[in-house]
Amino acid sequence: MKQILHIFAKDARHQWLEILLSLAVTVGLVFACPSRWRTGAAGFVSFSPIGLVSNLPDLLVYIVPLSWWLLISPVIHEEKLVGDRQFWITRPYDWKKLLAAKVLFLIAFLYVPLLLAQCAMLAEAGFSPFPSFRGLLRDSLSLTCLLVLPLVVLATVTRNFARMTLAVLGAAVCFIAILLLALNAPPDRIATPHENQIAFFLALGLCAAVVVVQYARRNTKVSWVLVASLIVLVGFLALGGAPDNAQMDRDYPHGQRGMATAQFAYQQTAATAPSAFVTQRRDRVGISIPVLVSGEPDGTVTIPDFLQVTLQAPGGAGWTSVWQTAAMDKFLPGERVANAQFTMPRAAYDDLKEKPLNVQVTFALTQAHAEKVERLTLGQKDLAVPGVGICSPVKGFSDRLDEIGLVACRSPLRPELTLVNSAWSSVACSSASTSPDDRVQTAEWIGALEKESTEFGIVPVSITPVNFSNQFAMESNGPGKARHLCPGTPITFTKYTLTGRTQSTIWINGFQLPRLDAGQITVMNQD
Amino acid sequence: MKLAIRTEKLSRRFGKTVAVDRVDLEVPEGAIYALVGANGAGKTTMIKMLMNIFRPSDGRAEVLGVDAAHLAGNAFTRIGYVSENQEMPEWMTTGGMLSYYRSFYPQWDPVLEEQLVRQFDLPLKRKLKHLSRGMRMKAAFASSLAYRPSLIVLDEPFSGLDPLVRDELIEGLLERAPETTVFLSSHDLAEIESFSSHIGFLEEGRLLFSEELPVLSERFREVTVTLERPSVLPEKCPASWLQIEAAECVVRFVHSNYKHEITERELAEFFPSARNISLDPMPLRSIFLAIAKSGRSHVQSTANTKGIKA
Repeated sequence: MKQILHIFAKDARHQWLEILLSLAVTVGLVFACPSRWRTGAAGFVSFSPIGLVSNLPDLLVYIVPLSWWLLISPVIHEEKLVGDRQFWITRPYDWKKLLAAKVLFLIAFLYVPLLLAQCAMLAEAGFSPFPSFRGLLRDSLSLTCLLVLPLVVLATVTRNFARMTLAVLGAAVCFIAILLLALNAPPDRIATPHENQIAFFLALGLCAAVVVVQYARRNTKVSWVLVASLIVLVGFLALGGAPDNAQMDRDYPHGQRGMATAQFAYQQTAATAPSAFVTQRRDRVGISIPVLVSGEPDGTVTIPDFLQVTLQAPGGAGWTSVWQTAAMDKFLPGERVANAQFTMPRAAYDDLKEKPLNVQVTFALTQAHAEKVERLTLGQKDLAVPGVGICSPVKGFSDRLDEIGLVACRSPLRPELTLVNSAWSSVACSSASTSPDDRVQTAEWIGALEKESTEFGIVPVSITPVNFSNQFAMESNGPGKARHLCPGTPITFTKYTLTGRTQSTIWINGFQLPRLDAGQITVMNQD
Repeated sequence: MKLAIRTEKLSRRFGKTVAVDRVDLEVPEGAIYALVGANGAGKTTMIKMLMNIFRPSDGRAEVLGVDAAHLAGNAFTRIGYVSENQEMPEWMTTGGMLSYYRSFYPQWDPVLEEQLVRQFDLPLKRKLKHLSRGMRMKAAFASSLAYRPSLIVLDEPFSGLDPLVRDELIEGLLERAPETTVFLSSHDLAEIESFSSHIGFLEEGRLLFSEELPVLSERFREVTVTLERPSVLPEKCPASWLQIEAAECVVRFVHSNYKHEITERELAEFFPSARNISLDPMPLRSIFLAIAKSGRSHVQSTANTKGIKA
């Protein structure tokens, strides 16, 4: 322990300027961030290029990791691991203690200041930091995996800041290339929640392996091989094949006991006919099949995550899709028709389009149930919503600047999956003639079932606009007329929690692939 | 005899280049061993393998009874290493560096530290990056001697230093010599000749010989034979004769295995018409030049016949 503290003290003495810079940026973020929620609407329209320049808090969210880069590089390179001329390698340094000293340095000057800053930001936003402590630690883990550890890894395999900068740029180029390839890849690439977790821990393990190999053996060649493996792993996860059925069966088991989800049935009417459309990729054709969704148990919501389609023609010809992202709404109790959309290769479409087909569509479903309902009344002031945070009415998002056009919620970390219901007023709130008949029901989902980090996990307060549907009344000519949220309107927040995951299949016999309308280009949500 | 350093077939390759080739070396405790050789002979690579900075491609080394491949951490409390091209914590002051290192060594001697600081006239408050090359080496020496290491390894320690600094360092080293083993590399023979007890010669990665310096000096003689009349050299000269030159009535060569009576008898048999035979001791520099110029094969055969390590 004495050696650890000795090295730590030496590093702290030498890196005081970098420490000061990092602390200054972090403190700056604490002071600047509250302006995001104080300025109301301006806060959440932030991550645009213009916002970056004009909005200091947004800029600081990016500068904080940069200051860490300036902190991590010199502290690791103080006892650099690459080369054969370092002063420390022939001194009685114990590599485990050296590594521990570096970890201690990062805890003391990166994690602790960040944690304190996050607590201060939460307190400033009106939340007690203690209930969010676990989430903050989870965010720190994400931050470690996504930012800190990769920077440490690149510092351990380079000999100085300039080399590390080149390595960071190289890694950035690799990831941008992977991202671009992934964006242009067919919509076959999906990752199940478990796959994401496995990838996360695998990446974490590989990064940790590089650090340990470098400190224990200073074997830079092996470490670079591990770094390359990490990039390949990320590339594979981004571009590799979709999960197989066994993987999906594990993540979305059939016939979950005690789980009754919505029922899906093929629904063909004059109004709801299957359609085919051209996608952005010319070698693929999009197919939309109308399905009737019903039987959702009260108090639950079913979310189709993925779907898989099998088309079987007489005589053995056929085609089976990989698991594709299902770009469908969340289904609450009640009947409704939705479109199950998927894409297929153009060649398979041409081969099967004239044949009667037996179709099997399997949905991978997530079901959540309503756990808590908060019924509140909209006013001019902030609403404290348990499970969500603090929701503020925002004026100026309609044709009248004095009317409420939006509700923005700020939450500690991310809000949980919540359905927000309210009612628009078709007439101005100041009008004396408002009546229940002028009300139009509206709803919007906010949050997510999975806990996700907010903005690199640095800012612990998220601002979520509740973009209610039907804000504009459609008129036959001219622009739609804006509706308003009037003070005194009931607003309900229903928090949902995960029930389970399962699969549901529909069969359609004698299905004919719809004719392709070549003029129609539909961009599918490929997630 | 206890050994401070022992290597067995120690080899290191960098790609296709063989930097050190199957070196067997033994350094007895208490010796001042000088590893000499031209630039690029493999001296630094050899030392870096001993210090576990490089891993051997083949063979093994033992340093103070520890496998060099496992030399780390506490083992370095008994070893002092100074290299001409070693990086230093430049931002530290000389005093700061000594103070920083102090807590790493349980046996650090503050009195000796003070003595070394005085002896080397070290400016304690000046940053290492502002020191001259000579001062930096002195600071490195002080930081490696103050804990009384059992073994001091020096890689070209005097390279590029002015004679005054060099003498100061040698003096500092020799004062510590009785209690330690010194292993140093150099390509300057003159600087090590005065104080080394053992010497090894490395050429193109191979250790041509390794022995005590007095034995080596005793073994080599510059022979000048003056003949009565011009004569043809015998076709087959002994392998221990290096750099044979003959002009008119004079034959000159270097005898690499001189043994007083045996050699004189041998020479008398070879040159029965000799008017005069002179056998002059050689300075170390001349010995090495003779070895280097006469080629490895010649020396190897000499070594083989006389049991010299090759």
